[in-house]
Amino acid sequence: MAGGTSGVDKCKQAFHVLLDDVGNSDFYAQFKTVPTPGEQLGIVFDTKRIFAVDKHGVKVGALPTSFNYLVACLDSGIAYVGVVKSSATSPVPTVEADFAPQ
Amino acid sequence: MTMTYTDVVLIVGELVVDYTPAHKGAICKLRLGGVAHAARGLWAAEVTYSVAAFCPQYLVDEARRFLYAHGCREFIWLGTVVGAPNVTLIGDVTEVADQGYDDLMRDMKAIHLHDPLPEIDRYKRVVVFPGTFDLAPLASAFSADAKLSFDIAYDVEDLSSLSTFRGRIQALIISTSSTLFRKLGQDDITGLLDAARTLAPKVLLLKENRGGSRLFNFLDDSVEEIPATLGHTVNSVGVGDVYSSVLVGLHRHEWAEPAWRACQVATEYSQSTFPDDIKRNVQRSLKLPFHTLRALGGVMLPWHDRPSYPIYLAAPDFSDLQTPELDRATDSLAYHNFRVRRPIQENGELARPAGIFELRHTYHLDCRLLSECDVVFAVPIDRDPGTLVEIGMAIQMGKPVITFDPRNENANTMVIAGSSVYSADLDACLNGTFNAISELRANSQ
Repeated sequence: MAGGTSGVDKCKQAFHVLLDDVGNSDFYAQFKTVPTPGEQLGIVFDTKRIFAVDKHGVKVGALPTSFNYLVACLDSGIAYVGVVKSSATSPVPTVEADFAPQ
Repeated sequence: MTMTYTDVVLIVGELVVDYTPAHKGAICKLRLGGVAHAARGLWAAEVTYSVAAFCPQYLVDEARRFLYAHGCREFIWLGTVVGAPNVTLIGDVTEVADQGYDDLMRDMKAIHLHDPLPEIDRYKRVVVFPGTFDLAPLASAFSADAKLSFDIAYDVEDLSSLSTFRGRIQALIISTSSTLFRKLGQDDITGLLDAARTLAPKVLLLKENRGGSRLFNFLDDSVEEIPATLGHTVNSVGVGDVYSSVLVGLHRHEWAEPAWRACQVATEYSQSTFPDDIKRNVQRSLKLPFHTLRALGGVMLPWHDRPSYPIYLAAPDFSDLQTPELDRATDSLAYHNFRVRRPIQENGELARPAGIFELRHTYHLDCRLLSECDVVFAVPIDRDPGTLVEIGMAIQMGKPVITFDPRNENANTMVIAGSSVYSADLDACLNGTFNAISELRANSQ
């Protein structure tokens, strides 16, 4: 490919993520469970880490730090919407999600 | 139109052509290198700059066209390179281990400065990337009140070669990849700092590859740790030059924020070779508030701390087995100054068949060594049973396990999910090693 751009913008790419710290999240602490597959998620940055949140803004789990590039994307006005792909409460609370830019 | 030069950074060095031969999974790559990397970075960061360069005549028109298209205010051809094409062959663009730079016809190369030397004394802020050119004539060509910075990673045998610039130096910048660093600071940073102080710079920036960087401020004796943001490295060539030039370009009164910002630009530069992509990503990331940048953190693992976290090598490290992937992994870890403990080499390779005493004795020695190490780097080639047992033991002990499976032979639930990182890509495993040990270091502080 020639030219100055690849045509790919990492902020505008969909991504798939296994959330961190689901067992320590606000969601798990409040409901003692995890969101079920198909539930909608969003993304917020809370001054230190990026979190996946449910439709009410409750934190479900953190995104791994390899996704920290999203902070600049969010800051530039790009929003993401996600959906729980799979989840389990036991033996370890686990949530896997797919996200795409809006 | 009158041009003012007070805020324009002058980049001085050689222009070369970087050529990376095609290799498995990647096409060949040809691009303008040397100070062109710094130019791309400055352009992406929207720092005003000019270039004063040495290059062969055949490159002049192309360099001028390229630089002016990338925001360069003025291109000054300081001298010509003869006898060699100024083409650098690059072996490893990701710097998993030594990058394997090789200059074509380097023994025939000579640089002829133009006489008289073009005027460069209107510039007050200068970054010099030493090369095979003589620095002495430049000393009088720069303005007496110019603030000079030197990236001494390459082509500086000894800091005494910069003594003529003593008192005029703002920043000295070096990388752990540099032979000068290996000579002065490999085992102890003190030697490097003492040598730097003889030139009376304001700051020394030590770029420590995937382990972040440290900014030593001689004005207040502070040390600023700037963590690395590890992602998929597309091309690490010139990334250090971008870091150096943007640091100086953004510096006004203090050094810490410019260093963090320069690191952001360098990170973006390592993750693409498409200039427009780099600029877009740089502009986005530079908009982040400084407190957010600090809060996000990253990987901080200074060169000199790495040996304090021994890595157990779980692998069929037997003398009669040809395992080039294992050699590549151990070379990579050694290149980055990790202390790799190799049980088979340390505790002995048993004869086959071995007696029960030798087996049990060696088993206990290996177990003890495993428990003494902080991290396990596993290379389960041929599904080696000993390696797989060691992986399991390490998981049970709560030690981070980085599994490099170059032949994709162990795509198994316990191996994949039990490992902190499981990959056939050494670059990803190296990042995983830096991540895991950086976390151990952070937790111990």
